[in-house]
Amino acid sequence: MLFHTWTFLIFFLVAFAGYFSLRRTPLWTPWLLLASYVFYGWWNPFYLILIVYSTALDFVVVEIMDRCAVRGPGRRAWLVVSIVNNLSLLGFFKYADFFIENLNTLFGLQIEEAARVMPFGLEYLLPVGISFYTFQSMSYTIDFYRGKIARERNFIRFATFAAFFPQLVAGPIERATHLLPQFLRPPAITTRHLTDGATLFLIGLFKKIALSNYLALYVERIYDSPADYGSAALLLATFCFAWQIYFDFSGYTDMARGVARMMGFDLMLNFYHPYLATGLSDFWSRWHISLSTWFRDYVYLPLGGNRRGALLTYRNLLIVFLVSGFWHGAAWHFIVWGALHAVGIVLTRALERSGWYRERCPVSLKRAWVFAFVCFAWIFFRARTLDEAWLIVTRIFAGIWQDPACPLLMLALVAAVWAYQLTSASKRLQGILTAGPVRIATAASMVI
Amino acid sequence: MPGESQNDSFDYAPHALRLDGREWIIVIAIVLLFALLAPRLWNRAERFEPPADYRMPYALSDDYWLYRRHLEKAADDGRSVFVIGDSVIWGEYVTPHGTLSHFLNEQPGHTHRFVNAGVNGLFPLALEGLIRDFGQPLKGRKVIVHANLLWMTSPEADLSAEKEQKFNHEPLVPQFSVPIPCYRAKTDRRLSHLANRKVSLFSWSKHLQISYFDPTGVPAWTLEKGNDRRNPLAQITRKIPEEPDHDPDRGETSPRHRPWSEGGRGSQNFAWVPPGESLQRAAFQRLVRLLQSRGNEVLVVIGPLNEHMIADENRPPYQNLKREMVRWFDEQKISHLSPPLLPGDLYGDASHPLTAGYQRLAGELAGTPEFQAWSK
Repeated sequence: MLFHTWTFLIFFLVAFAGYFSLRRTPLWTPWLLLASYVFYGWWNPFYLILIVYSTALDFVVVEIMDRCAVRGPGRRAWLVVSIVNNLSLLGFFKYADFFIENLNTLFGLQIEEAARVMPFGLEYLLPVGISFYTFQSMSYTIDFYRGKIARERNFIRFATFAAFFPQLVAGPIERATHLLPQFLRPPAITTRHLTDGATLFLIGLFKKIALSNYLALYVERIYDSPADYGSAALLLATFCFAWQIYFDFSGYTDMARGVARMMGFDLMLNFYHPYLATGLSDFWSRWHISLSTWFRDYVYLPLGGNRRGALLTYRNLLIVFLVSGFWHGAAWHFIVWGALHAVGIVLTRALERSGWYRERCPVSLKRAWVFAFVCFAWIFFRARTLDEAWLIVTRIFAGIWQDPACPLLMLALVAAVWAYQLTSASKRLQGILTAGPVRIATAASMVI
Repeated sequence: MPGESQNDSFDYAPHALRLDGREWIIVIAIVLLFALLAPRLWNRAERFEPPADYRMPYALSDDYWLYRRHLEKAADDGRSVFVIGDSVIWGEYVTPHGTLSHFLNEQPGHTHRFVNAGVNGLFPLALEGLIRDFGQPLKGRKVIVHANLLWMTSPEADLSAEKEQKFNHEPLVPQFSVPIPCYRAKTDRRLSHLANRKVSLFSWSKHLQISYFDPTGVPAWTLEKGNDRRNPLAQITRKIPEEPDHDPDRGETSPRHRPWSEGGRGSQNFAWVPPGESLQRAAFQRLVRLLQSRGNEVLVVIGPLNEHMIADENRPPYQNLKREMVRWFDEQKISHLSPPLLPGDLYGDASHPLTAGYQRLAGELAGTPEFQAWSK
């Protein structure tokens, strides 16, 4: 069940009505949990087994950790159990075939594909949202281990946090410290919550349906057979993909935040005009913020962050971005995408910190190179294989001219959004967009 | 951010688009006004002057908004009898001047009375949906409904087979109320079909898409060869596409316009669906009741199916079906006619007459006292 469907509309009306009626009774969290499981089980009821298992295990693990000495080995051991369990789930359902294929190729083995070990004839499928909820659940056990959060004693409340339907399948990846306390008591629902939520939902819906889906038509055409197209088409398709993935992902996040907001919950901001970033570090503080900060807090900082000298900082950055690339997909081209960002950040870290770059380099120039670099890296993200990515890069730089046949309407729409974001970020001009009639006209046009 | 309360710590978004309650009310009012007025105003802006023998162009068969407009226009023009049905009424092998409604109009005293309200590719399950949601202009009119028993020749044609099938006019079939075993669309697709049928704004926007762009939508149209630099707004010429002057697939000069067989005898064995199990028959019955409930004077014309095609041993079940149908019409006191079988060479296939076939059928119908009494 996706947000931009009629099915979700009906589901949400029912879920919201029930939630609203029950919010002054103890049944409000069980109701939210039921709604979340219906939402998730709509894809495939068997997925529920995984999420219930993952939730129950982390709940029990933290209960046991709570009985262990605070800095003792018992706690650490149970934390390892939780992390290994979550990563094993992810590893099996998302990465098993990748590893098997590579091991077979490297060592000439004959390991059978993961689907063969599925019990009871169940289909081997990547469960929707598994990358999100396992990370969210891990944040609870790790934060408990670190003493940042108290143990949640109510299983229903914890399960609702782990499966909260607005952000279950595509984030934002919430921290237990931020979201779990919101389930302690029913949030107040004010008109402001409803109007904010509806506006965010509308923006997300527009990004997804009117923009992302449209751009995807051109991107798919070109990227499905890159050998048939020249430099301009490949360049424009890459440009369009940069915006397509932004509209798609940020649109979905907007809808998630909007739905949660209407129910009185606060989900974290996940995108902050990433294509206005003036450096690669800046880009990662604006793009998929919930994931970037997750990796920062649970991978980069535990590795030592930037506290142990430049060389180790670069190593840590490299590890984080390689893992981030792998998190996005089980294929080499995703790992290369992550590596490109790691190399980009390592190479430009010193430059971005220099006084000249910060104060004298024109903002537009900084934005332009960051956008160009990000687009270049997107080639490796979007291509179906590493070979195809390389083919696209070589054909772009070979200067093969062919009419790209990219619709002007598509480019005009992207240009309009870009101009909107630039205006929005400009202290001098943003007043134009905050004027009531402009906001009303924009919203009405988006609906129509 | 505009309108943000001081104690609101919610990190809303990096942009300025944030509406408060009053502004949302204005937005909803604008959208409702647009939804209400745009289709109506469009009726005035778009030229639609259908000729006497107008039928929905084949390419616009899925434009149900245009179908309603066609009915409205015909009703406004004083045309009094609407002939509804599938491609037999629409005229699969013939030009607009070779259809049943055309030849009925040629009968003495009937000039300009009959409207071709058939749609290519329809079948009773879809016809029911079409009339329910787009047939309001028919209210209180005389309606001839064609009953085509072809839809009961097999479980597949009846849509009662278990194996999944793709079929025309999917948006018009019952989405939830009647289980159709071979129809496996997901819930969201079904809800989307329902919304397109029930909300005039959606069917109007579909009309714009089908008439001026690609049926799959404006985005897909801009990606078609040569359209990438075109202005989509310039496409909307406010003139509904018409049938081509010369359709290579239809009319007496078309290679398709020829008798179904040289010999005139067939050995077709149909797997007739028993009346009690037929989804198409049940839909047809619901359609007739719906028309009656809307105050329509209904006349059902049964067939005539091309019996020449049916093997001898396969005719009794067909005759039984036909008798059962007649019995139901009698029980319900619904006017009906069963015109005699046409000569074999006047059929193009199992159910579609050729031009001369329609001419003969119109003559047969108009010659019966029942028809004369009903159509007065």
